[in-house]
Amino acid sequence: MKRILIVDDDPEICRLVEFALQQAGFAVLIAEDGQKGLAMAREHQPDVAILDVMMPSMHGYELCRRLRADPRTAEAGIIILTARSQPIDEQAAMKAGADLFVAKPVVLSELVERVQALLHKVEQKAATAPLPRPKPKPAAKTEPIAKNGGRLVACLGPVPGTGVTTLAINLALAFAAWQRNAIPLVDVGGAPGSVLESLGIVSEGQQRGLSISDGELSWETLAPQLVAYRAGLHILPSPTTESVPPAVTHEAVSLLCKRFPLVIADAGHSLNARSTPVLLSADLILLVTNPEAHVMQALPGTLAALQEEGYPARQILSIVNNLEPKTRASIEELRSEITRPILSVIPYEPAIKYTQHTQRPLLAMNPRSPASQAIGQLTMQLARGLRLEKAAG
Amino acid sequence: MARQRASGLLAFDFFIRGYRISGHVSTHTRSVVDMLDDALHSYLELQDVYISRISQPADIIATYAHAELRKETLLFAIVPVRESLSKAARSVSYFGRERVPVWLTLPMFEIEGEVQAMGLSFDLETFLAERSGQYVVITNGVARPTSAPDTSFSGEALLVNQRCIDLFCTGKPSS
Repeated sequence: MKRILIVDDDPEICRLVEFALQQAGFAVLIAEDGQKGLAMAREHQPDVAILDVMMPSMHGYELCRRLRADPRTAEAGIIILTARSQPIDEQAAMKAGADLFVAKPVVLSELVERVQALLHKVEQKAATAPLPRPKPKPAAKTEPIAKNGGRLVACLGPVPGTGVTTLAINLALAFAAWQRNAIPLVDVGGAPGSVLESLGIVSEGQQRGLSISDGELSWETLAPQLVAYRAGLHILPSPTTESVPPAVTHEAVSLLCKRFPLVIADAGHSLNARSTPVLLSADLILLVTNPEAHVMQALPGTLAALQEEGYPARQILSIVNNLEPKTRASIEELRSEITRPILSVIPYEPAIKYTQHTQRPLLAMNPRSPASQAIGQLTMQLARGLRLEKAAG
Repeated sequence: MARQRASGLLAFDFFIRGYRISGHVSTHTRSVVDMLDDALHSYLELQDVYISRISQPADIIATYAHAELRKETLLFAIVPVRESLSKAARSVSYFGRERVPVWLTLPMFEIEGEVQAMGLSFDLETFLAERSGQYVVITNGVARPTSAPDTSFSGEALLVNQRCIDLFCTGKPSS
């Protein structure tokens, strides 16, 4: 019997959809929020998951991304069923990896038909795939990329808007200045081009990204893909199309680690097929947070996801990046929520908003500001911890 | 932190300056427009609130179980048609309803759609002056952020806060 997982916090919707699906001969599982849905999906590996978007603990898009990133659930059909039903929401659902987008309110018989059609499509896809669909192993974990040589530091945020890209850029610049050496900054975050856009190298909507086919990666093909920025920063952009498989990015990171003493990765705010192996192979993950309520809400989920992937907790350090002059919660409240040591507190910097318009990093624009100084101190702390040395001469 | 939503709530999309607020509102026996027009309450109670910036309207930046919206800051709301009608307006009219194309601007948004007017000849001044509520119902409406006109928001009915309308054009555009 085919298994369908419904993840929705509205008990009425759950009951109605469950009844309609059971009548059509499906086995139905129900979870009332995103975290429970993720756990249930990993345990039972449903054939189709129907996800609401507006749910406590983890919203539907994030759940969808995590299901797609996990080999145990990556092949499931995913339907986003939501009252946020604008065209832009459909685009977001598809970008997160959903197969279908259905707006609420929905006619139950139509939903059942769409589930049946999606199941058919999933089965066909599995049948025509060049390799037989692998049976998911319950204990399977995403493998870290093969890496030796240089150190890899990844920046990750629990939600969008914690300043992950800003920190990654400024940290890479600080290291480049301190080491007097080139530092690669790898963009493996969710939104293509975020690093290039932040630095004004491309404007919003412009296409410029990693474009190497699988199997032709070498230092000779990789080097021209690096985008040079001032003061020794070399950016490996994220691909702008799906035609570049995540494995290419992983191989590129591996190559960069062989050639450079330090590589910084901007992993954005989600664990996906491109970012997760990079995060798992990082020597350190800098979890970029702040005491805003929605960030604190999302923190336990992010830490749990890293833990589930087998990443050692001791290698996760948190950075408090104050993006607002005042926050309702205190650093102490954040400390109790995060459970990981706070390595650095970057003070609020009014110019940071200005830097978004000028597209000049804070360190280049105002190197003496308290925030720049904090990033400088963080750089020294990391250099000591990672036993990095200045380039000779 | 876990919370489970009670059933019987209306899903909504509200737009204020710079933000899209999605979530639920408990209307009980009233319609949303009745609650918005209720002059005794300056705030509207919202539940399960999901906040996005207008610059990235699909990205949820924060969620809260409860929130209060200051009604006068609301630019427009997207609601089902039945929620756009006040109880008083749910009456049968013997006059014909004229559908008039409109195009209007609000801070950060432009809206295109239709208003339904009673009678045979439409006069904008009379239409605006004789309305009892604060919200203009736009049907077949599409709202676009002025900073990203390729992004659109539409629904059965758009309830537009009349006090926030800067420019109200009617009829078909001349060019």
